[in-house]
Amino acid sequence: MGGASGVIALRRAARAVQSGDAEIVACVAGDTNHVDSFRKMLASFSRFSQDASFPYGSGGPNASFALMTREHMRLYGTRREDFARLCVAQRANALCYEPALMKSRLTTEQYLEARSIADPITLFDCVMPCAGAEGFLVMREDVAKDRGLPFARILSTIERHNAFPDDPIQLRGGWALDKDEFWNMAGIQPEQVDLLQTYDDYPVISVMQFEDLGFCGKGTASEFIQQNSFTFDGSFPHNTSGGQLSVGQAGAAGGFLGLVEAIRQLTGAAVKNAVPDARIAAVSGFGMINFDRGLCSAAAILAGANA
Amino acid sequence: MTEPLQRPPRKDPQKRAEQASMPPFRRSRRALVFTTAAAEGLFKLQRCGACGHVSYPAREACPKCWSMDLRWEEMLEGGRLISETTLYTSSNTYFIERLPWRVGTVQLDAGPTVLAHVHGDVAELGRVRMIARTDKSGQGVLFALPDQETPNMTDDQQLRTLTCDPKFRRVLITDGRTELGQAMAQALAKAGASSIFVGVAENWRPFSGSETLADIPGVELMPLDLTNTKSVEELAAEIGGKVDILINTAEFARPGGSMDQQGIVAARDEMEINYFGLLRLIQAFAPAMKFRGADGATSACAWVNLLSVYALSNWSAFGTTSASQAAAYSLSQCLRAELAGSGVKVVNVLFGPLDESWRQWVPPPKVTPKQLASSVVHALQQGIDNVTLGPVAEDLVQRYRQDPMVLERELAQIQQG
Repeated sequence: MGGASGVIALRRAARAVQSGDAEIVACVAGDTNHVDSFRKMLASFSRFSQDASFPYGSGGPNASFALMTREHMRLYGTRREDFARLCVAQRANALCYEPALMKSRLTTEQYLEARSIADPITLFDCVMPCAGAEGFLVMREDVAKDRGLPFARILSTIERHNAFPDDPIQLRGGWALDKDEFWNMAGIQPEQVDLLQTYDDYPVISVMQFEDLGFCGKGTASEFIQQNSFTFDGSFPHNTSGGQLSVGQAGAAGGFLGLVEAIRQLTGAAVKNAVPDARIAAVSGFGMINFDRGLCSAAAILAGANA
Repeated sequence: MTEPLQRPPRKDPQKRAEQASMPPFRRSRRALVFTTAAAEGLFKLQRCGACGHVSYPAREACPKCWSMDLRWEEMLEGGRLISETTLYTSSNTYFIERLPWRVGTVQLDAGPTVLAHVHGDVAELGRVRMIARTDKSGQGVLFALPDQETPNMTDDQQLRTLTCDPKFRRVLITDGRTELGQAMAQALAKAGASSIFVGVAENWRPFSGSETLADIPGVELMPLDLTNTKSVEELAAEIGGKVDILINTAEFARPGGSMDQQGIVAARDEMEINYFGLLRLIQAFAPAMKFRGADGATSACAWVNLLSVYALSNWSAFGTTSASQAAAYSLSQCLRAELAGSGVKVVNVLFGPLDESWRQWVPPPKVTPKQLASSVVHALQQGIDNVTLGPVAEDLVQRYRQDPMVLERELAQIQQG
């Protein structure tokens, strides 16, 4: 499930706990990184990518996301300056999160002048493969309380596979189909969310999640981005640990990063990058790019014990 | 606009030839059907026999109705480029050496959207003509051409990785004594080959057409006797490092089945030329070609075998010849597997009865030497690996694909009349 694996693990674990199959479920994801291991993973990623995208040169998702980014820019007028704003804010967040791989400030100029990877994608649009792991525990609230563990509650979750297979180029994900159910289940509106963690292998995917989850209208992301700061201490805190673009992507742990960060924020474990008065967090995942699109979408709303 | 290909400068012999790298080779078993169609220059995708939906990439079942009845069919070539990117980096050495590289999403008139290599002259969001060809790994890929011819279109660098255009290349034709060898030399000169080495066995013996042959621009007559290992090795020692395209036009065909001959003299001659001759050529020339598969813009690129279609199924009227052609066909399969990824394609042309003296009594339709020569040049220019030439060959190949065992019986019936 790749980038959706964190939320999907949470959903499976919660059902297991709810039905009494398990008392506590540990959800863990991680990956190592050796010489040439990333290229080998790309070569055998999926049958569709092996047959229909890997032979076309980029050797990974760079080209696929470049094609989506270009179309998003053409159709909706999204600009590189908009993607820059997200990437620069995430890097600022990462400077307050010690495990992040990227340790130096990123400026808008650096972003815009970075070398081209797959036009219009440039260096700082691309996630870095790395080694690492993320994890969290799922249990009933009373079990957590008995053990004195800090916790967050699940208010709602969604998950969908292979939405919109006939879109010629992917500009939306399954969230667009499940958005109403998602907010109704939680009984809140997007404005009530204190922080959002999106799956950010490339910034266009974060933009897609803003739109499809209803934080802004489809095609209006450019304006929305310019109105917010996206830093943990500013307006619309987003990817408050720096996201994958600053922390790195350790295999499926990349799909856990946002969820673990949301839990940290809601349980007071985030210190230097704490979102003030964080009570409600939204987390979103996106994964399994086959040959031209991501197949899985998932999202969750969590509330802190104080909410 | 495509820059016209320039005649390559003389090579510095002290410089090491670049080693060939290979684009990704691995494919699913289903996708190999796409590859075999591409090898014939055909653009085929799966269409559902139940609901008509066209799908891509290769699948086991229709994504619309789950029917397993997916049929590979030729598709409309038209489409539109709806998004594109130019790669400036890659994880694959083959592409790293060739960056920048243009790819794009094409909305096919046939239905699906596909990722394809894109010709430099395709306009942004423009109409394209889709072709399927084998790349340097030997596997099928999609390539989007401009829908209208553009100046120097075939010189596009990405397109040239799929083709074996003889322009500015050096060619060896193994037998110039025949009308076929001479027609081949004419056709290659016309296609812009820079040197055309033409092998002549027993060159002290005069042969018809020798003067015209020697007058073709670029032609150099070379002593070459395929029945003699030393002769083949000597020529390879002299020009082996200069052969970019090798076309084996040598053929020994005699009428008769296994019982029509006394002894094995004719059959041995057939094997000496058609099978061992090919093997001698491979041993002498293929290793050098293999190492020159990435040697600049006019690298070694193609090994062409001309084979009688009766290599697939024996026709007893030329029974022992068919047997030797079957051996040669099998050897060409071996060579193709050995050269996979080297940058050198094995082109097999299966032809119907050739219009030459030993097949004089065979009824028409026949293939003329000129037709065979121009089909080879066309295959090289287009980057096609498998050619079936002439109505007889087309019919036989079709029947062979339907059922080789039935074809065997049919050929026996033809012989009985």
